[in-house]
Amino acid sequence: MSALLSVSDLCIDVTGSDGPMRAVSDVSFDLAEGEVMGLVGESGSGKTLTCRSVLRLLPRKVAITGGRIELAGHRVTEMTERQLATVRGPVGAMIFQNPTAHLNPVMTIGNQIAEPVRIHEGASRAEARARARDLLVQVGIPDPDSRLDQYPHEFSGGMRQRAMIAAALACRPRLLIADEPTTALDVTVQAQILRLLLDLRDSLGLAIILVTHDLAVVSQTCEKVAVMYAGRIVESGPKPAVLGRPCHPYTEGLVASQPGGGVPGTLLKAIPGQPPGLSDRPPGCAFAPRCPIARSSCESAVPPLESAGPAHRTACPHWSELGAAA
Amino acid sequence: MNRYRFVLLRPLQLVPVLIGISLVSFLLIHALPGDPVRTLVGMRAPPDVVERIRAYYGLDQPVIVQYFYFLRSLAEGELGRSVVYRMPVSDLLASRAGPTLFLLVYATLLGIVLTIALSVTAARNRGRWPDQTIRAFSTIGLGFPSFWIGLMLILVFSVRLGLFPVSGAGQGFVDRLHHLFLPAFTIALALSAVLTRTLRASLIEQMDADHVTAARSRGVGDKDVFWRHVVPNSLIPTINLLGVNLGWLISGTVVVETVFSVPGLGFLMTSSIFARDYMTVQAITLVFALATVLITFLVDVVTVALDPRVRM
Repeated sequence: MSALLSVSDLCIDVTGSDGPMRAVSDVSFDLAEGEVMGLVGESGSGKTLTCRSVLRLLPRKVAITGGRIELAGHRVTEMTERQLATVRGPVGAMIFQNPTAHLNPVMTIGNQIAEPVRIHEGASRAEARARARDLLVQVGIPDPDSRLDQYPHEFSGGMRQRAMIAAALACRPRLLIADEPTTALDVTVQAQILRLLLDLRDSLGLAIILVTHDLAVVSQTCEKVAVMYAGRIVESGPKPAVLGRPCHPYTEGLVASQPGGGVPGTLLKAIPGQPPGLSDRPPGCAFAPRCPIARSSCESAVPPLESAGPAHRTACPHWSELGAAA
Repeated sequence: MNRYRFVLLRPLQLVPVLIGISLVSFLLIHALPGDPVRTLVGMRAPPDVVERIRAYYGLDQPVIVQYFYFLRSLAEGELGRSVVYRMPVSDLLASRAGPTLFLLVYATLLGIVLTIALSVTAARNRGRWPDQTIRAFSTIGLGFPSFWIGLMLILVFSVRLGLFPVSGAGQGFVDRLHHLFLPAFTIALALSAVLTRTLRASLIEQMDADHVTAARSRGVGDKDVFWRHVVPNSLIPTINLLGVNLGWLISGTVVVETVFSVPGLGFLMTSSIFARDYMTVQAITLVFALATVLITFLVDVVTVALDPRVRM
């Protein structure tokens, strides 16, 4: 099976006041057609930069400095801005954390959904509008005819996220990047949006990268998981393996800190300490200062990813000690 | 469409504003020293002539009575008689309003074109030399008074290069465009110096806005993103500022018309003040105030049309 998306050895630098700093290092992963992958990590772990680089939507002063990204045969990392505009929309599209800020406040919802259809397919105004209407139905927005002419401020938070999904799907992409799509929403609405994404995957054969810090979201939706810490993937593999038998102490800590597994009335477990900032990442394993099984050898060199099972990879050389200790 | 209900309601709110303006302008001019009748007949006129003239114009009545005379005739569309020009003020204003209106529209359009050109150039070249130059221009432009800029433009383009006439308003449309270019440009420079700062900042802010990234994520190209997403969102604060500045601009025509000897309302205003021509000064004050109020109202309409979130 050839991959729809292939990211290899991706490095991203952020230029600050004292020169460039490495934010994402040597990130590699593949995604097949119709597959849902969770990209998990704390704020600052590089998960958002990683997923944005797939469509080269990085902010100012952030640049890809190494590696390759190939999306459906397009070498994204080597394309010009003009070429990228032809990939964004029909091949890959993206939805964002805060639908309110990510919709144009002075353009009708209908026009925002229809705009990419007109650009990429040269559709007439009426054709694009008809497509926009169908999309609103598809993402579960009732009364689509009057909704088309409304503005974002006339929509609720959940409806805005649905509208943004409709706009992203307007040109039938094969990959949808969802950057924390439910974080800004009410819990009840979160579940509806996740349900919608899975339905769309089933009906359209859409591959999805779901960026989140919420393991509960991953366990409900994804087939595979990549866990990021301080700019690197520290563990990746099929969801049941990674969440059921974590092979990296950071993943194990994340799983243990989830509510639900513990005894009622006891405190949730927390990982002590803070992740390192961009400027003070240690030379060895970035998690070593917080790690319960760290030893002096962990601090000298970055441990490479090694196999811990079928398709299951970890950046901890001492992974076999995990589980036994618990 | 009750978004536009205020179009009908807002003018009602303006009535007390206009009464207040008429009262203040009326009292201000009466507080000034000097006697219009003496101005008219000279210092050596016999006292009975002075009294008759005074009675003819109603100037022998108490101030408050004069004010009500003024309001009554205003209600009849009668603005009084000019003691200097010896004609109805309404006719006088009608003959002078053309050049001022032309100048205002001309200056506003030039100012808008200049503002958009400068802001877009600056924002698209953020931090590089075109941006630095334009920012320096707007800072310098804010510092120089328009009468000085007007004089310099006359010196260079009229006196040295002979490209434009030194004064006057011209006859016919094209001639008028030619005659009023320098005065309009003087006003437009001042206007764009103010507006460019705001528009450049909004453009830059919007270029980094989340909804712009989202539009790009759907493959909307640079040009479409800029003109369809960045610009409409950036115009809203600038149009509000334009409204505020147009009010100020109307009073700015007084200075510019005087510098360029444009026979408009502003020029008439200064000469009438010096001649203590009460009726004319009052009428022009009212016309200027009415125009300011009208422009503010129009800007409100444009803002509502541009920004669906606004409800008046």
